[in-house]
Amino acid sequence: MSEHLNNPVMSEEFFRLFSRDDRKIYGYILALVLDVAAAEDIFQETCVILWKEFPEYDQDRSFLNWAYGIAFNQVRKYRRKYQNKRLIFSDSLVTELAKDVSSMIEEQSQRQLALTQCLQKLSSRERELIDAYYGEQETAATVADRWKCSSHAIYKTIKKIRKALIDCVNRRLSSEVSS
Amino acid sequence: MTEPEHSIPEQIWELADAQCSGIITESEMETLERLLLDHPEYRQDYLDYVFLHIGLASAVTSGELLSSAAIEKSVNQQHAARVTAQRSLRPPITQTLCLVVCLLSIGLFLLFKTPEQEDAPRQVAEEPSQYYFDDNTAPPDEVAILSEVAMATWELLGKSPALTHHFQPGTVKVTSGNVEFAFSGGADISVESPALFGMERKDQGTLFSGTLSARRTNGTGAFTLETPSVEVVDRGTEYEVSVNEAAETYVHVLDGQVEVKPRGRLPRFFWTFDQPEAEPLTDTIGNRSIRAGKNAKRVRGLVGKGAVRFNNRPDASILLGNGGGKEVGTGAYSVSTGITVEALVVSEWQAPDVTQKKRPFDYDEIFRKEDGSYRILLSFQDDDKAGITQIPTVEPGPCLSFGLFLSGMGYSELDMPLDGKEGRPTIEELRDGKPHHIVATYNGWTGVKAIYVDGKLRMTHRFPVGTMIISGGSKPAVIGNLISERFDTFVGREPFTGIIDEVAFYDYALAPSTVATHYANVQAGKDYFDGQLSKFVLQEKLGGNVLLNKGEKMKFAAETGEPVL
Repeated sequence: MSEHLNNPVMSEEFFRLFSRDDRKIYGYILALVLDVAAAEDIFQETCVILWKEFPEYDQDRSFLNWAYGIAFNQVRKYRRKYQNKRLIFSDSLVTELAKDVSSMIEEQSQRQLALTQCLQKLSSRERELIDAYYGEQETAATVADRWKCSSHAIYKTIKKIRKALIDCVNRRLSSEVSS
Repeated sequence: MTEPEHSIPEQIWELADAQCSGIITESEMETLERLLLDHPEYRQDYLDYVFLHIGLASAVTSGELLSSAAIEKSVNQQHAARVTAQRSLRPPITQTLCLVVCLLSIGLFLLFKTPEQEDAPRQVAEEPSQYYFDDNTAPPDEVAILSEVAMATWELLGKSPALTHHFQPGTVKVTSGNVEFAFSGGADISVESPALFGMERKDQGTLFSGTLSARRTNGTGAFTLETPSVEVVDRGTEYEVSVNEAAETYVHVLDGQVEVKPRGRLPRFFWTFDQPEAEPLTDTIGNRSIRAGKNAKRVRGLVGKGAVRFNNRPDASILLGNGGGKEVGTGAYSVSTGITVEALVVSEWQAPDVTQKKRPFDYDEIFRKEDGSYRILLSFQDDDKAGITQIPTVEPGPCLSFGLFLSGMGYSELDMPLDGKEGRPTIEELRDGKPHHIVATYNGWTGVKAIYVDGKLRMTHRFPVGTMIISGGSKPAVIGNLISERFDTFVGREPFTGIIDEVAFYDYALAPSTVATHYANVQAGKDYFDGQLSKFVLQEKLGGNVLLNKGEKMKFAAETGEPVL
């Protein structure tokens, strides 16, 4: 690693390319494993490998695609490690999804902005639930205890909110395209 | 099995939802896999749903989901306070009329305001600015209790240190014997004299100097201990930590395992405003999006591609979110042992020629987060103190003010007079139409609060070493204005006039030499970090954490936090 850092041209180029795409690489990993802690570990591993293998990187190729390839290998490693412990998709589906994810990452900043605007439309009760579930990372059972209802009712409400939000995001983006 | 075509997206959505909620069964997972393999045309819908799930977590933790309950509570409290105050002074009819006129003026302003207003003559906000201090915010929760005192002499730092067995965030000076604290998060900390120990949160403390031993009760959360150069995170264990006069840290693990990592030296947030016009503004460090009011316009950068012009109108503001803060002492804007707020500004502050003694005042906010007394503030003021504690006290007149709440001291402002004396700039120098580099720091390790302009230290005040900041909470941080309620309108009381660029927020105090370097870089047309920020970010990500096991001892360097072998 230190050899690269001592090569200012190479390290400059790496940091330029990496900082341009690092959020996309992380988003790619997270979409494939759906687990923040696992995604962070895989991202960390991916960073190290990208850096180590940067001298082998062909400058004529897309850096992002190269990075996706390395990240995908790390995702597969993670899958192999946990295949008996967690519910995960097969290799063939993950390979297909990975292609779709890489082509969708670019549009995510627009979708995220639209989501931020859609969140403002939630009622105070809905905000409270989303805040507890996603922000405080409370389980549905904990919230259900507090709200004196069943966990099933909480999951159902979260589902309704997510559905309303995705409809809102799609509506906003399609109206932007048509206007 | 064949499903009617129209039901497939529905099925995928139902199963994706169960997957996101973590309640999908094995057979449902198989069904979802089969549907996605057989119907690639619906994979994008599936992934859109997955990205929404990921995006929700990101939006909530970055504070984009403002708690409407908190907003309503805050608005109601303030309305109640205002109404009570008015009731004693004016007949009810006047009060009602005032409220209606106020609501109408804000409503009409929002309805009819158009982008052309940028060309209108600049003016002080329609709703005249009044200084605003809501000191009703609930203080932070108790963080620890005193569990044992062995022949000890100790005191809490502060103006009026009261001996108590229940502690909110604060710093303890132990001059003889041993004192043991039980933290609300589950850790027992025994401090040996002589020592200076800060209790920040129920699961976090700071050893400024001296020695302590830490033990965590089984089943409780991790306890983090800061020292001048490292963070020590226990992993179900018992350990000793010492900080010597040279600020070196020694860690000795008695049982279990401890993780030691060098303290971060990056900004927590850095807003360069350099994103392309078509894309939302974001924080360069965490990529979290921020939102601008209509009279905060993107213009050519003072450094880099973009900056933001504020025109002194009520919704000239940039809302940054609350960093995930819920109550005081929480969230990414919660800092304790140090802070730096750094910005490049072109000020067109319309301060009157004569110091204002009566409301309304015209303040120009650079950065403000209004969590009651626990606010963080950097602004131009000219208000003859407005009843707020100045430390030190200075003559009335225009000033650059840096406000913080310090444990044991309360809220106070370092008001730097813009009078041209003792190396301080004049107001004319700061309003010369050129960019100026403004940096405000507080360093709990030295107790020094400071303001720098254009790379030079211009004013300082020293508090007792170890005095900690209390900050953070549910209110959004704002660039260019003060907003304390109705955040969704972007309407604030103290809009900035001029251009703001390259705003950075750190959880430690930049050293004078670093401030000078940042200024030199800006003078050379570069950003503070000479284009190296992404490299520093990566280096920190790859940075070496050290795991120490039972019986292991290690020394860590004062400057870098790296192990000294």
